[in-house]
Amino acid sequence: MYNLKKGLNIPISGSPEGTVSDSTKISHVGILGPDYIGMKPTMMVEVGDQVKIGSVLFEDKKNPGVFFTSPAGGLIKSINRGEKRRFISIEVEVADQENQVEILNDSDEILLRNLSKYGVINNFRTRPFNKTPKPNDIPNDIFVNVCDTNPLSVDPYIYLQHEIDLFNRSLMKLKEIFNCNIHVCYQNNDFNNFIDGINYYNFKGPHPAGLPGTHIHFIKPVDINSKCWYIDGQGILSFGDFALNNKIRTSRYVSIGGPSIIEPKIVKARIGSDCRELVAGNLKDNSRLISGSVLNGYEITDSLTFLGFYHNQISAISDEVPDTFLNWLMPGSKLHSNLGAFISSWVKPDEFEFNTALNGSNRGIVPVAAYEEVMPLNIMSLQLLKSIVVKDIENAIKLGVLELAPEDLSLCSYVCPSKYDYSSILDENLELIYKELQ
Amino acid sequence: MKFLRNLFDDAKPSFSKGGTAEKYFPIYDIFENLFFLSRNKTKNPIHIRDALDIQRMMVIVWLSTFPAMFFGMYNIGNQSLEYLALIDTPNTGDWHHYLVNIFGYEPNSFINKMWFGAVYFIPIYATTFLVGISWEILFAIIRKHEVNEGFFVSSVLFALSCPPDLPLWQAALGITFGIVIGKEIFGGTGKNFLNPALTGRAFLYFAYPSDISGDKVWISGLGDQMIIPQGYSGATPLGVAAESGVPGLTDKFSWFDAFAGNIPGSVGETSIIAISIAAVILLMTRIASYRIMLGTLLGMFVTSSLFNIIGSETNPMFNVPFYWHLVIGSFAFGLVFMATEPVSGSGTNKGRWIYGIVIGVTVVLIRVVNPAFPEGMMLAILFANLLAPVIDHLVVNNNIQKKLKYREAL
Repeated sequence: MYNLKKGLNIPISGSPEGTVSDSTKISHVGILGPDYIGMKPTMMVEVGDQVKIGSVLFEDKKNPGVFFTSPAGGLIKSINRGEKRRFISIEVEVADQENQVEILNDSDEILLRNLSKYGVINNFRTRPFNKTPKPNDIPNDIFVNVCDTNPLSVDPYIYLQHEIDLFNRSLMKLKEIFNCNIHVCYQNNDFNNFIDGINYYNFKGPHPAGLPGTHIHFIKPVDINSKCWYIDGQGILSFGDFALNNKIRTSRYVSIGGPSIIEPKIVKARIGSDCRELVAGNLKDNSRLISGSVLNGYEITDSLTFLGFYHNQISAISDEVPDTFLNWLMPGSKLHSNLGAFISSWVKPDEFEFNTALNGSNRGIVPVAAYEEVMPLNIMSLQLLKSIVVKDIENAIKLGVLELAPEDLSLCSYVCPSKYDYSSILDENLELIYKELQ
Repeated sequence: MKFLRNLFDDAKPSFSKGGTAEKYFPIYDIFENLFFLSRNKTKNPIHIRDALDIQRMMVIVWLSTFPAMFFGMYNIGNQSLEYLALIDTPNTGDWHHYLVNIFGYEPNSFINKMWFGAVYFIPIYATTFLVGISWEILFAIIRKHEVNEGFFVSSVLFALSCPPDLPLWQAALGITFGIVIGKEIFGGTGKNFLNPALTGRAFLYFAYPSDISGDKVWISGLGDQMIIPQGYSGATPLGVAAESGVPGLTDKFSWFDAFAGNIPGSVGETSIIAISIAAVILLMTRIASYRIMLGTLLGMFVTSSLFNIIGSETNPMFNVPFYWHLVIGSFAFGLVFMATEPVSGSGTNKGRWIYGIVIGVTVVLIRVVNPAFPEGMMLAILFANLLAPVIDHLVVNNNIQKKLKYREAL
């Protein structure tokens, strides 16, 4: 068991509770470009085409042989592009009657090929670089994450236990076709489904104890040559449905919470759901709706309305930033800080109502020990942060940057008094390193 | 508040991009930030932020110096009025006299003491602040960034570390050197490898030794009157200890006097009680590193005890025990305010211990076995500042090697 001491559970209000309900009917679903790092699509459909569940929509130009398929049956409504024609999203209007393309995985060899052909391989991501695996790649290790310690998240075991049989059979199938080490990391004390030949680890402690980056770091740290994949529990269900039942899974458990959500809950929603439809009537005015967690997610805007492919939650916080008069002098009983600079550190409210205030402006890094306090990994946090800020990739690699994904640094950004965004900076660095290696 | 907000909102367009006073945005920014928290919002991918920013952090450090500052003012008055009464001359001998005279030279009045101290300290602080902030604004305008609030701390620490009789032009020169050479030419707060306040202080120490060391500068008026009554000395306890060791010390001051601050010295450094209040604030808010503080104390304790054991016939400093080292000179002041400056200090947790120990060891070495300078804290911290990158380099390399080995073992 790994019992982590460092880290931080942000006490944000509006956490969802136990039971799973069905979502409202969703009329639009979409696939988002920014979900897949470094992906450039070659479109295989046009606006107005009719598609089935599992119909190929586009291929990754940078990773030929990996296809992305439709999560719903219906009509291609729009293909959205941003600046410099950067792909943003493709939107499908869901038909009343949906059909799935026919899939037959009758041997392991065909299954392996079909994983890329039907986009199921995209449930896996590689570490280092957090990209979708190349077709025909065989990993040495697969990390299955049954933890979630993000703010407002729910323990994945709460919903996975409803399909625990499928989950276990999927793991066995995974072991069979890839014949590699499979590591399952869980946080729930009731988790008791252990299968021979698969490694199980219990992780305890504050966020980021539930991130795959943390698990990989402690169990089998990666370097440039590692063939390590990671996937979350829901991804395993998608894989299992595909491999065992020849079915493309179209739903995903999503927790909806945050101070701006009227009734926090867990729903079984469509993959790629329109987030605004999902929270219709359940959202307070003047709020920012976020696909993913408040520490690592994207704001739902008119051009980006869909639930991220890897996101298990939707969060909402107030987007109203009130004027704070003489902030440097106020006791701050309702403001959360990791360091003890506000009265709230001693007279603790149970939960805080967060809003989208940056609470300051950008300054040079002043290295108070805050970063070390939230970094459980054996990484020299300040030195790493400084080296990625100046893009000293050689030094950053030595310090362990390849072990990280942007979400692993989100707490460092959270506590940073100089208001840096290390997650985005890390993204740029990883891309730079990846390019140098090509 | 509404009125102020409107005022800022009205002025903002002319300072923003394309406005007539676009260049002077940093000045506008200082004032807006003084009254209102910036309205900046979070962006993808991180949507909530810790409430602590650099401004609040620096203001907490600044406020934590207040006990030492006010006690320092009181102590200037206390020491000097006593001296002036002793030589029966109600005149400081320079321009301060006209201000001091408003309340008079009565040596037993609390108000007179505070006023006397304020008349000496506030001009030093005001000069430091105005000259320093002008440099900050100049650099901010040229470099097109905001003024960093770290300056609040540098300026007050610089002023507090000066002797009360410091000529104002020297204060201006010192803070200029500290801010420009100690910080801005390296890129400003966050990029300096020396403590700016100490850099300025050290500059004065070496450039104008007669105005900033010796026996005459610690009591205002002494340097101007030059009348030294029989048996009286303006020397600081540290100077006394260097001359005649513990017997000389206990002859003139009690340990509790030195602890409470009732001794001559730099404005902010005398009272260990006032400095302890700051230490508690800085440690509770976790802005200062307890590792550095404990490391320094540990280094000082071990080294001074070692000297006590060795002993010396000729050098009385060998026999000064650790509890005297703690209360004399600027040890405590440097320990709490200067050594813990995070930018120029070590940036790894292990490194912070080593960095602290280096300071503790060096300060006693300089005090005891160095014949040239009685005070070692300033030089010890500057030395450790220079060493901090090396310490961090070793700690980081050690971590990298260990991780490599661990990976190979897998």
